[in-house]
Amino acid sequence: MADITFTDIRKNYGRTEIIHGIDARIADGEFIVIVGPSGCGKSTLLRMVAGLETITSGKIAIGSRIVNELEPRERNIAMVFQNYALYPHMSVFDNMAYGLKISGVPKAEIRARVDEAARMLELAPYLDRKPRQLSGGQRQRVAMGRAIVRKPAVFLFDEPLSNLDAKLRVQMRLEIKALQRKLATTTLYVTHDQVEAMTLADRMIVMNGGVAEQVGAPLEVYANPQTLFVAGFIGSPPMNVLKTSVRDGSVWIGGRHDLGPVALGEGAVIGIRPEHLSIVPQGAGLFDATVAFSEPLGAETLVHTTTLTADAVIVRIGGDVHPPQPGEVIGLAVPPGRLFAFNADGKRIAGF
Amino acid sequence: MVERRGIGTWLTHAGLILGIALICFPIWVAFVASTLSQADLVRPPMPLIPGGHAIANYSEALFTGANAPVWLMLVNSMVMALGITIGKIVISILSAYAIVYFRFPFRMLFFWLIFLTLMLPVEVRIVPTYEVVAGLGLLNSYTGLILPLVASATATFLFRQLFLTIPDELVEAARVDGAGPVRFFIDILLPMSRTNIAALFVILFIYGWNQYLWPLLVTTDPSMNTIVMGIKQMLPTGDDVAKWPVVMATAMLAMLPPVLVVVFMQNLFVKGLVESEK
Amino acid sequence: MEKRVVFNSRWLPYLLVAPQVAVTAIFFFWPAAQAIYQSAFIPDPFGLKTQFVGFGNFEYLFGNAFYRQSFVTTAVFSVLVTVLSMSFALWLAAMADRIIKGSGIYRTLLIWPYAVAPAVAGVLWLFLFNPFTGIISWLLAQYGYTWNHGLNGGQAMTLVVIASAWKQISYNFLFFLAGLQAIPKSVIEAAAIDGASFWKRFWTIVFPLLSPTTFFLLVVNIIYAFFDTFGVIHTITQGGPQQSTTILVYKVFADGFVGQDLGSSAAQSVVLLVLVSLLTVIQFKFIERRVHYG
Repeated sequence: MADITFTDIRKNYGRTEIIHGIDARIADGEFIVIVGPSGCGKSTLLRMVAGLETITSGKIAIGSRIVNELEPRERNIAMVFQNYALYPHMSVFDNMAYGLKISGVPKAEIRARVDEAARMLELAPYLDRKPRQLSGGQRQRVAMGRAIVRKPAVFLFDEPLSNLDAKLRVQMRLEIKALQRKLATTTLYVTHDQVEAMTLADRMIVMNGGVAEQVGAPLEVYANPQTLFVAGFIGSPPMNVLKTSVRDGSVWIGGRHDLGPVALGEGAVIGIRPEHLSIVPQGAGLFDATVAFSEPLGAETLVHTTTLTADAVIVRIGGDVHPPQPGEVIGLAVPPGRLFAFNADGKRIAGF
Repeated sequence: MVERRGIGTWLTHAGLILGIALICFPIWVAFVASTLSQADLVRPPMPLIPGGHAIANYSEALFTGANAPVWLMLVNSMVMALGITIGKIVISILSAYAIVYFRFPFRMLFFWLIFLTLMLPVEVRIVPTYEVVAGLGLLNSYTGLILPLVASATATFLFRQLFLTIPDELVEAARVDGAGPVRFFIDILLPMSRTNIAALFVILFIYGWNQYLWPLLVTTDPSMNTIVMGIKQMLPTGDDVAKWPVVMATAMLAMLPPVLVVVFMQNLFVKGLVESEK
Repeated sequence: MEKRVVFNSRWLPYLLVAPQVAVTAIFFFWPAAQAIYQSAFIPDPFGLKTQFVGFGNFEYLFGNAFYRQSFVTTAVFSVLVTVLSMSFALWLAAMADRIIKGSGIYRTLLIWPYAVAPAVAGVLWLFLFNPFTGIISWLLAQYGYTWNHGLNGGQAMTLVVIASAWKQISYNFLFFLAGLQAIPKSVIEAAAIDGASFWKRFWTIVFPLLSPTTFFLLVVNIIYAFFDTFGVIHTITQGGPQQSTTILVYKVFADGFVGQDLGSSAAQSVVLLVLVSLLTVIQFKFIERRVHYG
């Protein structure tokens, strides 16, 4: 049981800085998901907590200890790797028992703990098998079992579900969440999949280019993105982005005069979520758009349109509503308070 | 990884440097000895830094040598090594090609016959092979030095493995384009095998250059000595004192070509070595 | 493993395999057959006729104390060379693997001995240990230890072992290094997180995962010690003193060429043939195993 604190964490490879000052405080027992696109530094951050990468500057504290100089085995952590990293020459039982054996835990207790974890993860029938005799999902569970038996202060997950097929991924997601709730261990979970982030996290750290762009609970981040990147990354289909132009002192979007004399600055953009748009007759909404095509998903339909200013806009409508035809020109309406504005640097303009 | 190695890192480097020193020590000593005079060496300990007699020693080695001048032995070694290397590569690649790309009666028999040669290194058949070579009148000849060593199972296997990984579509495309087996071999297969051939070249050249037992048996005329076997004849027998500086100079010359080949083609060589044993 | 697409030609494949088959037949199988045939005969004192003795040569051989001794000598020699060479190479490879930068330089510097002929290696070490002028024998003398491998059988064995092992270190090093680098980094990291220190990791994770390479090298090194070390023995000790370094392959040479005992030499060749076949079969079995491992 421990809380984790990041204080101005920076990481250099050679002379290039790739992590630019991350600050965060994670409470004991929280499930934190670090999410972001490839190359944003999320795995590097996790590995710094694990001690698999050195910290160039800043401090990481687990509980009351600053762990910068501690070796991985002194940090009381456990990690689940993306490719599971099971010991190929050992049985499932020995894989899970390895860490305990090294710390000198008595045999009887090892047996008890491994059996308990095996039961939790439904691995009991496989204890004598070698990793190469297991399926991907089973190997993943063994990796988790190895982490669980150590009863560490922190769980670290490095994209553990990436190598599984879609259906298995959904199932494992639920199991991981349930497991964490049961064990109440502080967890850091890295993924590039925003769906995983939304469903698993108590709070998310959204990273981009080595910077933590926003930290918050999933629904909070969804409803209140602080940067354009976060707005576009969280939520599927992503938030629509419309360019603005200033004409005669007023701000226009979609080629139609709309927003009045608001001070947004040069290069600002407007964001609208697909589910907040509704289809109205041409001219009757905030702006018009030409329908390109529709994607019927059953429970909903996604209508892809293009505005007069060549912005691509996706509209979400109910599955039982008849979608407009390609080529049709429609109007799009937005209820008040559902517009987001971002300046040219991608920062959210408050109070819009 | 965060590792409080501390002294550990220094120990690692120190250990490696010590290892390298142990490995290189004999060669360094030989080099130094080849630059000293006989007087320097007769009373131990010999100095460990090079002296000034290099030219004298190497000239004596190259032009007088023991029973044959070293330059002649170098030529013999080169001819033998290149002969063995090229010979092995040529006949192995041809055999591998036949075995992989053709169906013919006795195909597998030939394959197993070649495999069996692995169990017959020259050391196992020295007397009878000598008799055969003598019977064919090939003693004291380059042919006699080269031919008996030229069949190679390892090279054949390597090429076979390589050919098996080449996609069938390539052959089909070639056939559609009108290429017969010979054209296919020359225009397509050979270029694709370049790296493997180069890697094998390194390994086989060293194998050929360093041959000892066979040249020892097959050459009685000193003018056919190879340098690796010739060195032995410079060593003292009984109570003679050897001319160590000259011997060491010869040793350096004997080591030079293979070492150069290895160092300069290092990447190819390592790849070839590790691959060929798979 | 077969090719789906092949060429059809009646005569071309035969032409292609002809050179190899010819050389193999003339210089491998025919002499081998000769050896087997000759091993069943002994020549009469005048070399005019030969007398069929069946297994007589073999019986004589194994009854001969010198021959049996040669077996022991060969066994001791190969074990020492193998163990010495492989341990040192493994240690060097483990060290080199730890270094992130610069391992290429170390590798270049450690490769040299591979290019050196065993005979030349023999000459180099003979020079170092020369009882009168060698620098190491002089060093030992400073500590009161007299070195003369021409008189002392144990010292002779030590010297040929060192020279032979020295030469093989590069080969073993390259394979061990490749084997170490093939172990996924994440498995090592997992062990580090599980609490294992460097040496613990080495013995419980790295070394077991290296076992295919180790087995393979074991067999290769034994074959090397049996056959390729002829040059070392011939240059340094000529099998002496008093046959203390006469390994089997040297004995074939000594009896056959120097002693002119063709029947015995042929029988010894046959014995060696059986041994090398055994070793080669084991080697291929292990190579197969290597492919399926993990």
